[in-house]
Amino acid sequence: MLHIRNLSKSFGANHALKSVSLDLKPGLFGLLGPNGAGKSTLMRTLATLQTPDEGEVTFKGVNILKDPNAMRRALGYLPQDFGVYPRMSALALLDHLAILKGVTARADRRAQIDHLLEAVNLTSHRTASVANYSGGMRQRFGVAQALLGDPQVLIVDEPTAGLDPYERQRFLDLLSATAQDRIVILSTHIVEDVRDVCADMAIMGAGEIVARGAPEALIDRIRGKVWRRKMEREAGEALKQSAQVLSTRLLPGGVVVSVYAPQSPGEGWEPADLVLEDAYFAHLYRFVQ
Amino acid sequence: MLARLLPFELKLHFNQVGFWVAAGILALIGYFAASTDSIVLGAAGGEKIKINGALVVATQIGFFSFLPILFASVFVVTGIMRDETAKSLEIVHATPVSTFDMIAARMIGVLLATFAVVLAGVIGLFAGQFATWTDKEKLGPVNPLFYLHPALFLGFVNSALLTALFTAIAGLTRSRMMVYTGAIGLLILYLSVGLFVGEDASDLVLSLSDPFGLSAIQVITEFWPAFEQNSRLVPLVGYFGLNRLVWFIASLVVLAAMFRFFPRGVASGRSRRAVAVANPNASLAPRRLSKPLSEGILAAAWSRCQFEYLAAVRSVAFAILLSLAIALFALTVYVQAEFAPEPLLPTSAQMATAAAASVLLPMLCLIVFFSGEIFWREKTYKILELVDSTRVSNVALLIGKWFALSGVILSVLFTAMLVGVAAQVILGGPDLNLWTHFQLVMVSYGPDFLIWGGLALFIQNFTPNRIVGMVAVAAVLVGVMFFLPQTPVYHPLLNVGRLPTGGYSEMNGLGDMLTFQWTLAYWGAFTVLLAVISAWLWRRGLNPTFISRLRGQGGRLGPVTAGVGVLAVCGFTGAGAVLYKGYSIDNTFRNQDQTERYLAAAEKSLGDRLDDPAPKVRDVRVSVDMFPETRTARVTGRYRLENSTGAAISELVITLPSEKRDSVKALQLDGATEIRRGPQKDPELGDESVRLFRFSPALAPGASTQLSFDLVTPPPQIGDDSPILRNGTFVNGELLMPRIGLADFRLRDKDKRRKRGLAELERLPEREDMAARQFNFFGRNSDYVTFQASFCTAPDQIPIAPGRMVRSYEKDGRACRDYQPVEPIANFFAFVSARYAVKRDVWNGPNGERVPIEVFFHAPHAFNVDLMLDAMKKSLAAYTRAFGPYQYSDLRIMEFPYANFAQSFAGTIPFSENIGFIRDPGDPKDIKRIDLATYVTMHEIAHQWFGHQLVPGETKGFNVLSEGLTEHAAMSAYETAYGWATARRLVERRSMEGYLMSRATDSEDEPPLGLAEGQQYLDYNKSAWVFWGLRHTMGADRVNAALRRLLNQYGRKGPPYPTTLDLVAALRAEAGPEWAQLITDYFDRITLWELSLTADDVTLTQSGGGWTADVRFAADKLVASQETGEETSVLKQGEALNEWVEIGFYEKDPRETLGAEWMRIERVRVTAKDGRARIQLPRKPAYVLLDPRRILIERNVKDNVAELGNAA
Repeated sequence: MLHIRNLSKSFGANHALKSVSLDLKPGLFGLLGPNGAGKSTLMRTLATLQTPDEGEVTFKGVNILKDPNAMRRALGYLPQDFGVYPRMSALALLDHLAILKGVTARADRRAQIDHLLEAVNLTSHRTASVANYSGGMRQRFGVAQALLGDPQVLIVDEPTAGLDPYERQRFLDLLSATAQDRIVILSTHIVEDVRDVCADMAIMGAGEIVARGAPEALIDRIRGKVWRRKMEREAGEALKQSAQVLSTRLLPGGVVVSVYAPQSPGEGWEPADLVLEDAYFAHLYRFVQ
Repeated sequence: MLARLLPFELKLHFNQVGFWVAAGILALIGYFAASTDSIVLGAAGGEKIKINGALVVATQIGFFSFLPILFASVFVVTGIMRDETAKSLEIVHATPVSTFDMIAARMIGVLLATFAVVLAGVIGLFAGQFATWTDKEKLGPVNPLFYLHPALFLGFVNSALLTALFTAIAGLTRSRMMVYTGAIGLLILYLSVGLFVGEDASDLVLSLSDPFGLSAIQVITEFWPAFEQNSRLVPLVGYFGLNRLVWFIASLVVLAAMFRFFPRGVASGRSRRAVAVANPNASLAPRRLSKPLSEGILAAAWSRCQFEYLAAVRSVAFAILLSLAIALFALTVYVQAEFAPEPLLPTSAQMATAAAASVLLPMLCLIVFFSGEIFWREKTYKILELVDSTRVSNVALLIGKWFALSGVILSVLFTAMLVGVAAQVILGGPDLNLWTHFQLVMVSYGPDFLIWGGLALFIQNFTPNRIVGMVAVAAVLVGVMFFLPQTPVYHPLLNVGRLPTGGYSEMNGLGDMLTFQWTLAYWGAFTVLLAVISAWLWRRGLNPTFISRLRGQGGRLGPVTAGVGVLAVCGFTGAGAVLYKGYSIDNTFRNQDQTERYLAAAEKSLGDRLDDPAPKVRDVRVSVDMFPETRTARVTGRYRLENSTGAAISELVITLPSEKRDSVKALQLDGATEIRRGPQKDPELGDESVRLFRFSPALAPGASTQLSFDLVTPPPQIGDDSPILRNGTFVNGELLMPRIGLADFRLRDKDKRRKRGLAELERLPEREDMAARQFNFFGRNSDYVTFQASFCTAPDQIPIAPGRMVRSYEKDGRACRDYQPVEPIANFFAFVSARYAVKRDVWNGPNGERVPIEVFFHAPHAFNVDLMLDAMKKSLAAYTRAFGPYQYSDLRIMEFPYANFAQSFAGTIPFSENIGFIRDPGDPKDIKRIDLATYVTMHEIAHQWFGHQLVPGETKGFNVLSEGLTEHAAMSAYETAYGWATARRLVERRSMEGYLMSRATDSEDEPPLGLAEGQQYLDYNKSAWVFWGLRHTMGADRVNAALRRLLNQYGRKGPPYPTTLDLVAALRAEAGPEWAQLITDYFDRITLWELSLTADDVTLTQSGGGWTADVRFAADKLVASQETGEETSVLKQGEALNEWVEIGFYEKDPRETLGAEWMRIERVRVTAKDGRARIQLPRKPAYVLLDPRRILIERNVKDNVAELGNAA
C-alpha cells in the first residue's frame, strides 16, 4: 500500500536518510530509533513536507514525490512538535483544519469534530483556547486533528514525548484503536511505545533501517544471546572495551550489565529475560547481522 | 562580566545575514547618493552647495541615523528578545549573571550593531565622492571631519536613542509584535511631528521636538549662505547641542527605567493551562461522511481568508496602525482648520483627500507588516506541518491569504472614508457627497494598495523568512515610489501598481480615466499572474528549495489555475501592449533622463534657431469649436505677421500644439513653403510639432504675411491626455494655436547642462541692451495684437476668452460667444469653458469708469464669490488711484479645476478652485489668517497694470517689473483691506522667510534684485520685501508716483520695453538722496544687515512726565558676493555705514504681534558699528525692538529684541 524505495536525504554533510526502503500495510507500524536517527526526516518526507534527494515513495501506486496531493488526500499527520494559533478554540481550529482537509459538508464536519473531541475527551474544553491546553491535551488535540477526514494513513511523530505515564497509555490506546483499517506510523524513540501497541516495527539508526519485523520476531533473533550480570561499576565500564555491551543499569552496589554474545561470556553471567529494549540495542548497535 | 558577555553579543549580530544586508544597503545608498543624482537623502548638492560640504553631509547622515527605526527593532528582537524566540529564557534567566550585565551587554551589542550599520552608510557617502563618475564640479575639499562629526552626534546618539526605546519596549512587553509596532508607530509619529508642533512654534520647541536632531540643524542653518553650508560644522553649542544632550539623556532615562522594571524569569499569568485526561472508553472509529472529501478550494479559501482577516484586524498592530491613520487625519484636519493661514473648506473632496493622504504611510507599513504576518503565520505559530500536510490546494491557501490582506487593506480604506465623511459632517462641511468620498478614497487608492498587497505576498513567497520578506517588500515599495522614477530605465509600464487618476476636482471629478482603466487592467492582470506563479511555486512544507518547488513538490497547477494564468498573461501583455503603444508608439514618453537627453539633442539640433529673426504677430482671428463631451477641439484662424526686424526673413519655424500629424488639417503661410524633414533635423526631433517654412522670396522688412491654420485637438489617449476637460477647461492659447518661432526648451539646470555636454546657458541680456528691449517677456514673436475670437462649446457650458463679449448665440445647438477686446492686448490668450454659475457686479470708478465685473464659478463653490467681487472692486479702485486707469472694458474671474494657481490674461483671470474658491478666508481680525481668495484676486488684477500695461523687456530683472510690482500693489491693497498687522504677517510669511530660505538653498548664484533672471524668491519674495521697505521709508505715495511715472513712459506701448533700470531711476527720482543708498542696497547689490542688542544695552531714566531711553546696539551691513555668496562688511570695503535704523518701544512683547502695537518708533541714523540713540518716551517701555517693521534685510532678528524688566 505504501512503498518506500531507496529514500535518501542529506542536510549538508549530514546524511539523514540513507537509502531507506519500507513496505507498509494497514496496521500500527512502529518506527523506533534514537534521536537523530532520521525518523522525523522520514516522517516529514512521507507527509510531503520535505523532498528527498533520491528515492521513491508510492502510495496506492502513485509516486507521491511527483504527486504529493495523492498522499495529502489520504494523510493524517501529527508532527513531533506543533503549535497552534493564539486565542483560537479547539472547535474553531478543528473546523478550519477539517475544511482544509476537504470536509466541506458542514454537518459532516460538525459530527466528526464532536466525535473526535469526545473520543479524546476534550468536549468540555472545546471552546477553550488550544494554546492554553496542557501537553497531554494538546497531543490529544493533535490526534483529533490528524484523524479529521478519516485518513487512510496516519503518521504520528514522537507523540508521547512529554506525556505522563497515564496520558501516554491513554494516547497509545487511542492510536491502537485507529489502526484497524489504516496505516498508522508511530515514530518514537521510546521502546515501550512500540512494545505495547505495534505489531510491526522497524529500528532506525543513523539514517538507515537496521531491522524490520514484529517485536517478538526481533526478540527471537537475539534469544539465547543476551546475558546479564551484576558487577562493580568500574568493571562494567572496562567491559565495554572487550564485549558487545547492550546496556548498563545502575543499581545500589554496582551495575547490571547486559551483553550480546553467542555463548555465555563466562562465570556469573545469566541468560537474560529478553525484552524489546534488548532487541532494539542489539540491532541498533549492529550486533545482530 | 559585562566585558566578557559583549563579544558574544557582537558576534551574534555580526553572524546575522540581516545585519550585513542592512549595512550593505545603506553603504550602497550612501555611495550612490554621493556620486549620482538618482538618490537624494534629504539634501542635494550641486555646483554651489557641494555634495561633500559640511551641511549636506550632516543632513545625509542625519537621514541615515533616522533609518534605524526600520532595522534596529529587528536587532532588538534578535539581541534582547532571543530568549523568548529561542525558548531559552528559563535556562538563561536561571544563570547567576546579573540582570544589569545581561541586559546591558545585549543592549550595547544592539547599539553597536545599529551604529555599525549607520557607519556603513557614512562610509558609503564618504567613498561616493571618489567615484569616477561623480561630477567634480559638485565637490569641495575632502574633509573627513564633516563625516565624523555628524556620525558621532547624529548617528551614534540616534542609534542609542532607538536602541534604548526598542529595548525598553522589548524588555517590558516581551512582545515581538509590540517592538515592531512601536517602530512603525514611531516612524509615523516622527514623520507627522511637524503637524503637532505647528508653524508658529519657537525655535526651541522646533529644535527639541525632533528626537533625531534634524529640525535643530534646520533651525540653526536655516539661512546659512552657501559658503557656510560648505565649510561649517553644525555647532554643538545652542539648539543642536541642546537637542543632542536632551535626547541622549532621555535615552539613558528610558534605559534606567527599563533596568528598574525589567521582569526577569518567566512572565506571570502564562500558565492558564487547562487539564483533562483522555477518555478511556472513547472510540476513535471513523464517522462516515455524507459527502466525499473534496478539494473544496472555495470553502478552504474562504475559511482561510476569514481566519487570516480576523487574526489581522484583531491584532494590536492593526489597531495601532488604524489609530495612527485616524489620528493623522484628525491632526491634519485640526491643524488645517486651526493653524493653516489659508485653510481649505471641509468639502467632500478636501475631507476625502485628507483621509486618503493620512492613510498612505500607515497603509504602506500595514502592507509590509501584514504581508509577512499573513504569509508566514503557519510557520510563526509552528502549525505549518499540520496545514501543509493537508489536501488543501495551494490556490486555496493563496486566495485565502490574498483576500485576507486585501480585506485588511480595504477595511482601512473604508474606515478612512467613513472618518472623512464623519469629519465633514462634524465640521459642518458643505454638500456632503458620498460618491466623491468613495471615488477619492476607494477608487483612487484602493487598486494601488491591492496590487501592492499582491506583490508583497508574492515577494514573501520567495524570501527565506518573514523579516527578510518584510525588508524586501519595504525596499520594493520604497524603490517603486521614490527611486524608480529617477532612474534612466523608468517607464510607466514599470511603475508597479501606480494607477494614474489625473487628480481629482470637484468640478470635473477624476481626471484621465482611460489610462487609469488600462493601467488597472495591466497591473490587475500582473497581480493575477503573480498569484498563479505563487500558487505554482508555493512555499509548501519545510524550507523548500526553489528547485524543489520547480519540480512540483509544492503542488501542481490545475487546469483552471493554469487557464487563469494564461488569461493573466494575455491580459498583462495585451494591456501592456495597448499602454506601450499609447505611451511610446503613438506618443513619445520620455522619462527624466530621456527628457534631458532629448532636450540636449534638441538644443544641439535646433538651438541656433531660437534666435532666428521672425515676424511679429499683429492680428489674431480665431474660431474655437470646443467639444467637452469628447474632450476635443477644432481651432481655425489666421495670424497677420509683420516683419519688423529690419532685415529680410527667409525661413520661419512654426511650433504646433500637438506632435501628431493628423492634428493638422491645414497650415499655410502665405509666400512660404513648408520644408519637411530637412537634413539639419535630428531624426529624433522630427516630430510634427516643429514645422519649418521657407519664404520665397524672403519676407522683406516691413512686409506682412498671413498664417492660416486649421488644427484639431485630438481626444485623450494613453500617454497624451487632452487639455480639454468635460467640465472646467482652461487652456492657454499655445495649447490650441500655432506659435511663431520655437519655445525656449533648453535645459536650465547648470549641473544637468554640464552632464549633457551643453555649454553654460548664456545669461539674459543686460538691461542696457536695446536690441533685447525690442522684445517683451510674453515672447519674441509679438507686441500688442488685435484679437477676435469666436468660441463655441457644449450647450450647457459658457465659453470665455479675453476681450469684451460682443455676441452670444447658439450655433448647431452649441453655446457660442464672440470676443473682441476694446484695445490691443498681449499675445497671450486663455480659452475657458465650464458649466458655470455667474455672479455679476459693476465697478464704478471715480472718473466715470464703469467696468462690469463677473465671477464664473462651479455652483457649489459660491463660498468666496462675494469676497472676490469685493476684492475686484477694491483692487480696481486702489490701482486706478495709485497707478492710472484700467485699460479693458470688463474684468472676469473664472474657476477651473485641479491646479493651484491663477493667471492673468487681458481682463480675464482663470482662477483654480484650490487657490481661492474653496479656501476658508477665516476671521478678518485674526492676523494669522490669509484670505487667499482676496489676496490672489488682488495679485492677479494688479497684473492688468504690471504685465499687461507695463510689459517688461526681455532683459535681466524682467519679472521684477511684473511679479515684483504686482506683489507691491497687491500687498498694499491687502493692507488697506485688512490692516497693517495682517499685511505685516503676510509679508513675513510669504516674502521674508521665502527669500531668506530660498537664497540659502538655491543651487545657482544669487544676483542682485535688479538683475534677477526669473528666480521666484527674488521676483516675488525679495521684491515684496523691498517694496514693503520702500513703502515704510520713502512712503507709499512716492513709490506709487514712481510707478505712475514708469507707466506713463512705457505703459501700453510697444518697444522698447522697460527694464529695472527704468524702475530704479523712477524710484530714485521720487525718493531723493535720503533713500538713494537704500535703493542701491535693495536693487543693485545683495545687502544684508545685522543688528543686535541686549537688555544691558538699554538704560531707562525717568524724566519729567516720561522716560528717556539710552540705547546702544550693534549694527553692520554686509554685501554678498554674487559669485561666491561670501559676505563682507562694507566697513572692510572702505565704505562708511550710514543707515537709517528704526527702534521700536513696546509695552507688550512685540514678538507676539510681529512688531505691531508699538508705543513709539524712532528712526535713527547709524554711522558706526556701535549704534547709539537717546529717545524720549511717554511711558516706561517693557521691550525694545530694533528694526521693528523689518525694513532691513536681516537673517537673524532674534537678537533684535530686549526685554527691559530690570533696565530702569
